[in-house]
Parts: sequence; C-alpha cells; structure tokens
Amino acid sequence: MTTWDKVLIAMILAAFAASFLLVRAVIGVADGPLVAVVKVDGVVQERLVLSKDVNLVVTSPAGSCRLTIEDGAARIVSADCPNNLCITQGPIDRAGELIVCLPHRVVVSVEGSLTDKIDAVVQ
Amino acid sequence: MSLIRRPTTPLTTSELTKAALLLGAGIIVQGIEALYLPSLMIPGAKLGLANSITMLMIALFRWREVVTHVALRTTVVSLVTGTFLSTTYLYSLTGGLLSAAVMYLAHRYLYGGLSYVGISLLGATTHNLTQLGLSILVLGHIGVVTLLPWLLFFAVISGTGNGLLVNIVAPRIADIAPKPQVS
Repeated sequence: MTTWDKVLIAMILAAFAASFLLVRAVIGVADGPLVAVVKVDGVVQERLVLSKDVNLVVTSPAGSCRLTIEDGAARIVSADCPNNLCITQGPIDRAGELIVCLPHRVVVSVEGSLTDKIDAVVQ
Repeated sequence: MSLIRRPTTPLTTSELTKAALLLGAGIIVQGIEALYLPSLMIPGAKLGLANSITMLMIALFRWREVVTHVALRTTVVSLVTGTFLSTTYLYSLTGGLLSAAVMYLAHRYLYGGLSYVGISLLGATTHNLTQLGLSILVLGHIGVVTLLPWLLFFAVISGTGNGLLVNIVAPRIADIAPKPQVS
C-alpha cells in the first residue's frame, strides 16, 4: 500500500462522513412529521400527526369505524363492517403503509417520509 | 518480452487460455457471491471479489480483453442468477464496465503512485456510484441517495480488501503471463 492509497482511503472516508451528515441533515428537513391521512371515498377527511395520540370516529356513508393513533402508529380498533379486515391489518407507522376498508371506502395511509422501505435490490 | 503488438492483434493461444481461465474464475467468484452471499444490510453492499479478477485482467491484458471479460462475466452470471436483461443486469453491466474503465485508466496512468489498493478503491467507488445514479434514474426517486454514505463505506472496505489481495497475486501472475504490449 502506497501513501497515495492511504490518501485515497482517507478521501473516500471523508466523503462517507460528509455524505452521512448531509443525508442526515436533508432527511431531518424533508422528513417532517409522519402524517396519517384518512380518506373516505377518495376525499381527504383528516390529516393526523402520528406523534400525537388521537382517538376518533371515521364515518362514511356505509358506517363508521374507530381510528386510534398510539405510540406513533395508526390503527383501526373497531368497525361495524362485516369482516373487520381493517382491524386485522394492524397498526401502520411507516410512510407508504396503508389500511384499507373496502365496505366503508376508507383508506388510511402514512405519508411524509423520504426514506421509504427498500423497493429494489441491486446485485 | 519485447513483442510489439498493436491493440487489434489477435491473442496467442496461451494468452487466450489465460484470459479464459480468468473469465472462469471471475464467473465462479461472482456467481457464488450472488447465489450464496445475499446482500448485507444495505442493498448493493457486497464483497466484489470479481473485481480483483478484473484487476488481474487489467494487469495482464489490453482494454479490449478487459471489456470483453467484464461483459461476458456479468452476462453469464446474470444467466445463472436469472436476472438476464432485468434492471439488475443493467446495473451490474454498467457498473462493471465503468469501474473497469476507471481502473484501466488508473492502472495505466497512476500505477506506481497508487498500488492496486488505490486502483481497486477507485473501481469500487465508481461501481457503487454508477449503480446509485442508475437506480435514481430507474426508480425516479431521489430517496435512494440515503444509501450513498453506506455505499461509499463498503467501497472502502471491499476496495481495500481486493486491492491488498491483488497486490499479492499480481506480481506472481505477471511472471507467468507477460502483458501483451501496446505499440
């Protein structure tokens, strides 16, 4: 290993550190708070910040269901739909995640993060 | 070896054999890595051992053979892993070719100042940055940039490892296989 090799290693490590800090900073800004968006029949009804605990009833023409936000995760706790699939879909806390209730035409989605889950793997 | 050869001169049988052996070694190394060492925590982070074989090709042959080597290796491995003509293959091919080009030039103009460690580092960084750039284009999502620091970090680790390896292997192999000279 020559001196220039070491210089190169140091340079790339410096770039690593710089980009690490930069990405941190950028995410902090662009990230914003995670928000649960409640849509009924495609129309936005509520935008709720996930960091604040909430308990509310979402009503739709077909019935109603109860949405709670607890520990930074949103979930449906009760509903008057026939199969209760929205309850079994569990809590959502990451950007892009959804809870869908077809009978009520209710969609709850989490939005607001730059860091989605991995959507491609490179080899 | 004072053979003066133009870049287009065909390889002799013994050179062809060595190129074929190295291609075989490259395919095996990359194939095993792709099949049995699934990506670490970070997509794209890998050993890149095949890169050390590419460097041996660069040490022994001209750019034509190096390009052929990389193109054939990535293609054959993609057939093995079943990713031929997918985006994965595209990433692999462009990353491989670009990093080989950078390493070829680095070997030609900077070798001496840099050892194979430096050349390998340049190659690994180029490879990872190319793939990152491509994935931003393909996915159309700038969020992939968050992987940049980790890709650089793993480029240092695998680049240094491969470079140290080639520092040991290249001088020994050079005795058996003199580089075809470019006039």
